[in-house]
Amino acid sequence: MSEAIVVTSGKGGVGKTTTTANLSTALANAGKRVVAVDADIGLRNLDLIMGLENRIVYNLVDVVKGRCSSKQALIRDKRNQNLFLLATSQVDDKNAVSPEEMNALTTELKQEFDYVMLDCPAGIEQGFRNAISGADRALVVTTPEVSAVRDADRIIGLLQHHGLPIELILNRLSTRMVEAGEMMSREDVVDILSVSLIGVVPEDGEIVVAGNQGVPAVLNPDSAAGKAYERICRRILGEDVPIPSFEEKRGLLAKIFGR
Amino acid sequence: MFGMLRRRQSASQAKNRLQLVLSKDRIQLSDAEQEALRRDLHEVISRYFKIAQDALEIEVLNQDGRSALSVSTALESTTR
Repeated sequence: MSEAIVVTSGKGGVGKTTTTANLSTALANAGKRVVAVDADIGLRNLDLIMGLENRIVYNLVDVVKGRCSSKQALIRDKRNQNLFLLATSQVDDKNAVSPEEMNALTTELKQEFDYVMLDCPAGIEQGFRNAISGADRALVVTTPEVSAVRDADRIIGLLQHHGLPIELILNRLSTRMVEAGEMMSREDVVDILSVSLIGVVPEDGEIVVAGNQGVPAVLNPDSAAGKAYERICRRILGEDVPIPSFEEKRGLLAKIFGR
Repeated sequence: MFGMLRRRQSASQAKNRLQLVLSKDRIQLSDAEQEALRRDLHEVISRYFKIAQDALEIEVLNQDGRSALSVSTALESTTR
């Protein structure tokens, strides 16, 4: 049973591409055949975050327009034989492909792969409609900031209208700020958006390092965010993995009691 | 100085502001349409109760993937 999962958010810069790269890598490490699709036409980035930017020959628009086969355009990951990237075009715009074409492409990729991970562009226009058209399931990424949550609510409304099952990823949570009462907690955000939560990713400087190096944080055993993505991956696979309440806690008491 | 000592608790502020703005966003009508709806509802309710001009609150509440339209108003009097 193959599944196409769209990673979306509404607002830009909340971690869609990072989430797509990490979950794709984690799913491939779990033995699944995975293709990560950069659906953000014109603003190519998934290749960079996955460290595959120097290998692109053909892209998504080439495949859709019949200039090459999907096999020719797929780039195999350096570290994992099960993981592939379909990069996007940097020169075309969102209108270069239609929702019907994206739907057909996603359906084709599902024949080959266990998971088709679609990195959706920000916004609610054609690029969004393209990315969700072939998806079976949606992961909505938000941060605990008012603008990101408001945009997530809009996206959730559109996804519900489209009939897609939705799960929420709360990204860049700072336990220290939540405890100080200066950041909305995961309970606050879930309460506002009333969708089910599939994971909380703590604020983690290792994500910047991971981007710098082109090596997703799930491959770094010292990254708290990487560990969180690993847990989300297991939940996607149907495992019952609890969401820790204070993921990145490293206080004195925690050290003394070894937790 | 006082600003530094004052406990801001901006998280609860964020939550309250969001809940308010989202209840309006979720109506999915243009600003002009919302105003027209408000005017129409006011006119209908005023036939039966005495309500203040700006007392009408219209919002959409989302729970478990279902939406409800909520219209609430304070009554100045339970009769006309």
